[in-house]
Amino acid sequence: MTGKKISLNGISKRYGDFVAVSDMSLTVEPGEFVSFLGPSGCGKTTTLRMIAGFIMPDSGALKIGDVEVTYLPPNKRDLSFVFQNYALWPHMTVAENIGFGPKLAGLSRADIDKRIRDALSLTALSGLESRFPRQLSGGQQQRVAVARALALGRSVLLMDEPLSNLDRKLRVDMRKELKELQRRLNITTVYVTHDQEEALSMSDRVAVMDRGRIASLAVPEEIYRNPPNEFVASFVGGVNYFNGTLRHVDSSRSFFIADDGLEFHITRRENTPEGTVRLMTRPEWIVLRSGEDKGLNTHPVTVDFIEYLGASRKVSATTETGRKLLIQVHDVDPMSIEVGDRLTFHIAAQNMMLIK
Amino acid sequence: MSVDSLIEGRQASPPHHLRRPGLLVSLMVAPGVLVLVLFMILPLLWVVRVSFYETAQGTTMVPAWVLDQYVRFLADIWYLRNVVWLSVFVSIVSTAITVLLAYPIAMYVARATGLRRQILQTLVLAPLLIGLVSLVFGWIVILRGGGLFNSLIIWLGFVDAPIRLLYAMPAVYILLIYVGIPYVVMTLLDNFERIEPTLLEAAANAGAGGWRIFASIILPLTLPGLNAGVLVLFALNFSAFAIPLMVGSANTNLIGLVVYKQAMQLGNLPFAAAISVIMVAISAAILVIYSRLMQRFFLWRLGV
Ligand SMILES: Nc1ncnc2c1ncn2[C@@H]1O[C@H](COP(=O)(O)OP(=O)(O)OP(=O)(O)O)[C@@H](O)[C@H]1O
Ligand SMILES: [Mg+2]
Repeated sequence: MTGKKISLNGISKRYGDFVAVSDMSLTVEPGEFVSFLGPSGCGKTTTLRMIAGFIMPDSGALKIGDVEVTYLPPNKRDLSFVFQNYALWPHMTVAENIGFGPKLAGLSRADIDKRIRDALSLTALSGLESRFPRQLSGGQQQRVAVARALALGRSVLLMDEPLSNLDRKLRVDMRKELKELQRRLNITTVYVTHDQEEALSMSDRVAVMDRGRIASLAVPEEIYRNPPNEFVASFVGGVNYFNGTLRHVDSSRSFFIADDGLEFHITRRENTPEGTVRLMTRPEWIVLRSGEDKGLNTHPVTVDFIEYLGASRKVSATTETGRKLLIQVHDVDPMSIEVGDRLTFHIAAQNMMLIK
Repeated sequence: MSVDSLIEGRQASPPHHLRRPGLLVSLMVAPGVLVLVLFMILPLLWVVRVSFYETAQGTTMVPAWVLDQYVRFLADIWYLRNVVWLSVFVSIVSTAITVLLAYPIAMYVARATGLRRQILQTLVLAPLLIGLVSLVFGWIVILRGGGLFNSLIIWLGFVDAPIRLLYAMPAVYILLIYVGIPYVVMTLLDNFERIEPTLLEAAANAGAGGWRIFASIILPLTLPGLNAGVLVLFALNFSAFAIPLMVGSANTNLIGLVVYKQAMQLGNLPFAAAISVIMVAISAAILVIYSRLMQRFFLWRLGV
């Protein structure tokens, strides 16, 4: 099983006047793992189902490998699909569910059995082959759905929120397993999710979608650290914005004055314009310090509210200039913080990013 | 995490108060039970009791505990052949044809949506709403000697002279089937609707074309509905009396009709009662055997 390239070229889908997917173009490289990430209703499922052939696009072209498949029926495409509700056939045992596709493909009994065995051992399901889906837990059903998809031996794997019905702990375990499986089999994968952690942790590249379009397509670090726009920035994590004026100091540094007068030295990057700009920083990139601290990029704040999250604390604070800040403090820091404390915050020069 | 630990510990026993119905529940159920006993169980028991009576001078009932009525029926080869066997045969054939016709109809209706669906569903249900007598009159117009059907086949050149449909077996079959279709369509429709579309998409993704999806997924998943339809239909057809009475002849003595004639026309209640008991017993036996077979070969897979 070697992965094939998927190419979407200007794919669109309308429902009446409503444009569900708009002129979508994307190439997924052989063996690559790409996630569609986005809010509910942004067209993730619609796009995935068009690739699978369950829905026909209104326009555009779709290729798997070098084969044009835009209007091919779903049973003629070299891909397998994992459904959000698993869609296991209730009247078939686990083994029958997995063996259905290989049997249709005309494999010999011995080859079918081998496919079933391999898929079961890949997904750690051995021993459950004669159970019916109703006799399995949610996590086991999820594995069977993956096993059934893998047993088809296709070059492309499409998954629509396959983990969203599992509890958090299982979801975190499963996403690692799925990712390892995908890497081992080198199968080209498109994965739909609205969980940013899932997308960031599993994907080679993440396509953040917004109202039927790709708002950004990049590697996870890029999406998180240097998002191109506000929509992407705030969809993948917490964010603080600063409007203000930027001036270059020398080839490596710039100087930024926010609208409220706060001053920051920031790392100069390529293609950064001077003048009016918008910067962003993430809550966990801001460091809280005791009140006496002074220095570059350090300003006083008052703590308004603290949310304890276990691994970290989310602190809402207000600067002397009246600006609201969201700061995430990791719990390795023994500093005790109370509402009303007057502290300082520090943002490192490389931690303020330009945004459109 | 081991795979098996995932499903263990899920079947804890229910808390105590859910296990036994409380006094309040018993009180709430009591009126229903009373009505059931008064109007359903007692009449049935009475029929059973009367079936053991003697008859004097033809029809007078004499309380007793004898098997005369049963012997009279079961020892008579004419009854066994022309009533019991005929009824079994006719009801199996008519049920089978009904199911074959109703299945595609249900599938067609299940696919329609919106207003179209409403209209189709009403059309299918119409026979149940109109009432048997009106329906029979309608069919008489169609089936009689110079009726629509005969005119049509003569005009098309299939036959030269009208064929006899009415007041004969063909009319009995046609009406049993016609009246039975709505029952089966209804149970099937419900079943079709409960099939998740993703189950069919998953099959297509696995490489199945239309026929394969039908045979491997749709048909098996609608067997419970089909089964329920068959059970009701067979019971109805086996005990039918109105249809053979209205459009049949002396050669269409279905067992229900014989009961009707004995009770209502000849006034021999003990004999009618005994035939009723025999009718219910045969019907139940056939349905039990049928259910066992269905269960054995398929339904266990669905856990029903
Ligand atoms: N059959 C349909 N008829 C009309 N509108 C539809 C249909 N299917 C989808 N839509 C609309 O298209 C849009 C995109 O739907 P889609 O299912 O792709 O969203 P999604 O990104 O998968 O969202 P979610 O995260 O909630 O699953 C939605 O606004 C939805 O209402
Ligand atoms: Mg979706």
